[in-house]
Amino acid sequence: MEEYMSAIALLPATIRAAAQTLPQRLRGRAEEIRMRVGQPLTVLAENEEHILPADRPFRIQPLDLEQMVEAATRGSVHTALENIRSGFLTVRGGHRIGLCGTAVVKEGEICNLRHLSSLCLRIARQIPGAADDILPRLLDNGRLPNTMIVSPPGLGKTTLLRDMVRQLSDGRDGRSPVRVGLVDERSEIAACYMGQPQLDVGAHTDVLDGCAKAKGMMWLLRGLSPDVLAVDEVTTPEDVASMIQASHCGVRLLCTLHAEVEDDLLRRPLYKSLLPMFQKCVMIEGDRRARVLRILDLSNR
Amino acid sequence: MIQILGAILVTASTTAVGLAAVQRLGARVTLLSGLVHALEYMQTEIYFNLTPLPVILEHLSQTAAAPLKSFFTRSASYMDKLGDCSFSSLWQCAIQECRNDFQGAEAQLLADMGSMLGKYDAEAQCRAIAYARARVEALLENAEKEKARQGKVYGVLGVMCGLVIVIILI
Repeated sequence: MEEYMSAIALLPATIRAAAQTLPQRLRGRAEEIRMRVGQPLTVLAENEEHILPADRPFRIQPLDLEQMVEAATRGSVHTALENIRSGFLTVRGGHRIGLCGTAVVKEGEICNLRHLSSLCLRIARQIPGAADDILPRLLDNGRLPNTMIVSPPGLGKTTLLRDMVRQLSDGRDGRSPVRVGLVDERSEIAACYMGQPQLDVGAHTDVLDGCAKAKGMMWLLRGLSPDVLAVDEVTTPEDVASMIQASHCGVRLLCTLHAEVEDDLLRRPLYKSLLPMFQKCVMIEGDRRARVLRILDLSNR
Repeated sequence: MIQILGAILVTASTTAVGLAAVQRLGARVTLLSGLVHALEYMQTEIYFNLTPLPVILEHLSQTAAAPLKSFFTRSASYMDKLGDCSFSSLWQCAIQECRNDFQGAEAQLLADMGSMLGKYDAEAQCRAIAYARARVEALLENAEKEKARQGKVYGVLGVMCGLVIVIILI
C-alpha cells in the first residue's frame, strides 16, 4: 500500500488522480503501472491489468510520458542517459521506469529514445526477512562461504540477495556485522537515488551503483576492502574473470546466476570456471506461489 | 542662510541622481559578472559530475549574490513542480518574475539557453551554456566600458548640474 502511494507520487497530476482510483484491496498487490500512448492507464495486480479509472478511462498522451520522464530525471536527462540507453530509470523510492519508444541508433547501439510510446513503472518492494531461514544454514562458523543464488527469472534471486546482504551487513543473532561491497550495476539491489540506497541493504554496505560488475568488483576490492563482495546476475566472461580474481583476494563472494535447474547450472560453459570457487549454492525452485529453497554443497564436486 | 541651505540641497540632490546613475552601471557589471560565474559553474558541474539541474540551482541560490540570488532561488523552488510543468516553462517563469533585474539581452540569452537545459546529453547542454556565457561575457565587456566611460561623466554631471542650477537661481 505504502509502496503504491510512493510510486504514484511520481506520476503527473492527472495520471496520479486516475491511479488513486485503484481499489484499496489491490494497492498492496500492485506490481506495475503501465502507460501506453493512446491507451488508458492500467495497473498490473494479481496477474491482471486493471484499467483506471474503471468508470471513465481516458487516453494517455505523449506529453504525459515526457513529463513523467522529466520528473523522474528531475529535469536532467544527462544524469540518466546511460540508464535510458539500458531501457530503464531508477527513481526516488527505488521504483523503476521501463521505457519504450523509437530507438535512436548510432553505430549499432541504442543511444537514446525519441517519441516515447510506453512506460512501465515497476513498484519496488523489498521483503525483509526473506533470508531468515536460509542464511543461518549457509554460515560456517559465523562466516559466509562463497555462495551463489541460482534460479530461473522471477523467483526472487535479487530479493533474497538483498536481504542476505542486509542481514550480513547489519549482523544479527549474535553475529558481528561484516563489511559488504555491493556492485549494483542495474540499480536493482539497493536502488540508489542521488547516492542514497532506497532499499535497505544494511548499515555496513558500500554500494557501487551503475558500474559494470567486472570493473566494479575490482574497484571495491582496491578501495573499500570488503569482507563480502556481492553482485547480481553474473552473465559475462568478464564478470566471471573478475570473480575468480576477487576470490584470490580473501574476500567472500555472494552472487546470483540465471539457471533453470541444477544440471543447467553445471553444464553451462560460462559457469564451469566459476563453480570451483564456490562452496554453497542456493537453488530457488518451483513457481512464484510456491517457491522452494534448496542448498547445494559445491565444495565436494 | 536659507539661500545657502537651498544651494546645498539642490547640489546634493543632483549629485545623488548622478551617483545613482553610476551605481546602476556598476550593478549591471556586477550582475553580468555574477552570471558569467554562474554559467561557468553550471557548465563544469554538468560536464564533470553530471549533476542534476535542481541541485545546481539550489547551490547557486545559496552562493550567488543579489539580484541573481533571487532568480536562482525562484528557479530552484520551482523544481518541485517538475512532472506537472516542463523544466523550460519553469525556467521561463523564473526569468519573467525577475524581469526587472535583467535587461532584454541577458533575459533572452537565458531563455534560449533554458530551452536546451535538461533535455540533451551533457555535451550538448555544455555547448549551449558556453554559447550563452560567451554572449554574456561580451555584454559584460560592454558594460565595463560603459561604466568606465560614463561613470565619471554621470558623477561630474550631477555635481555640475547642481552648481549651475544654484548659480542661475542666485
